[in-house]
Amino acid sequence: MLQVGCSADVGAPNCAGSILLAASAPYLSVAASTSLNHTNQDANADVNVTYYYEVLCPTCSPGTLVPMSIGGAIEAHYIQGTGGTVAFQDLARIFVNGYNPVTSKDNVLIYQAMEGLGASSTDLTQNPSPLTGTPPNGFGFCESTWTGFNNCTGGPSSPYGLSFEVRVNTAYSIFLDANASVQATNQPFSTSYAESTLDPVISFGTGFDSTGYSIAVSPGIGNEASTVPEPATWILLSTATLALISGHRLRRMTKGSF
Amino acid sequence: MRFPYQLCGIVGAAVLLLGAAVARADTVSVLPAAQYSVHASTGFCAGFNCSIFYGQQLTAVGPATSGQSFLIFPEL
Repeated sequence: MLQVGCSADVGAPNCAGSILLAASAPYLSVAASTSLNHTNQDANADVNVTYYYEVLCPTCSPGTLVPMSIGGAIEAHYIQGTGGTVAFQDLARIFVNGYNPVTSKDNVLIYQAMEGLGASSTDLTQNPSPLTGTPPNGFGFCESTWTGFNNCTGGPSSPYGLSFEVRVNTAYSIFLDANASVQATNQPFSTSYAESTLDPVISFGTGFDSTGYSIAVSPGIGNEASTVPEPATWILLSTATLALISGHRLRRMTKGSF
Repeated sequence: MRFPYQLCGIVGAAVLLLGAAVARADTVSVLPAAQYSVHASTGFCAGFNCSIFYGQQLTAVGPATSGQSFLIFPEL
């Protein structure tokens, strides 16, 4: 697990945190918040990972295609405080490489999904890929595939996942990214908050007999749904832990001064 | 007359072993290591000082190690 946490222990009023849990699931979570009594403030957090997957089949002939699917939950939320001016950036993205049967090109981008402010769908059948979807005001969810499928509907919490194909015994990459940013001006009496999470799972296509096949991923990476607490929970836990440590140190310093 | 049969057996076993080794090498591959990056930063104004900034960037190549945690400290 890689984690960058809050800074309440050193006097920074804002809180921003990134967390990446590799096993048992690749799970990304970021959160950013402002605090009271500051007229100009910002908090930013980003986390990303590139890892690899492969369908292993000892008895398959080279080049055998296997139907796959990827899915899970993708979320992005924000809470705007009262007064002042607040700018948010909040986006979770997933990019999957695989085999494109339309162009017969292997190890190319064949699926992408994104959730958040400014989410936009791209037609992967064209190069360069044009923007073909526009998000609704505020948050949008978009996904697209090599078939030209584009979908830009859904709220701040959307399920995603579509079928695609890969060749056996070939390594493909997946890129995951989540970021959250909040900038507040003239908002000293209220707080604003942004977060985004991403938790993908790769599996064989529905109805496919996977006997003799297995899915491998990069060392240290899992392929299961995560049970990690929401960002707000672990930020609260981090702050509480820091408060305990600070209190302990303060007591030791006070005790040592007499 | 028995020698050719033994020779055939040895050659056949060698072919089977070589074939098995090749087939296994095709499927037991080491996938490239994952690359990780996390980042968090905050900034604010205190009075007339608007350059107060706290930030931490953490990157890793290869498997993540459990419990690796960093706090944000001010950049001097």
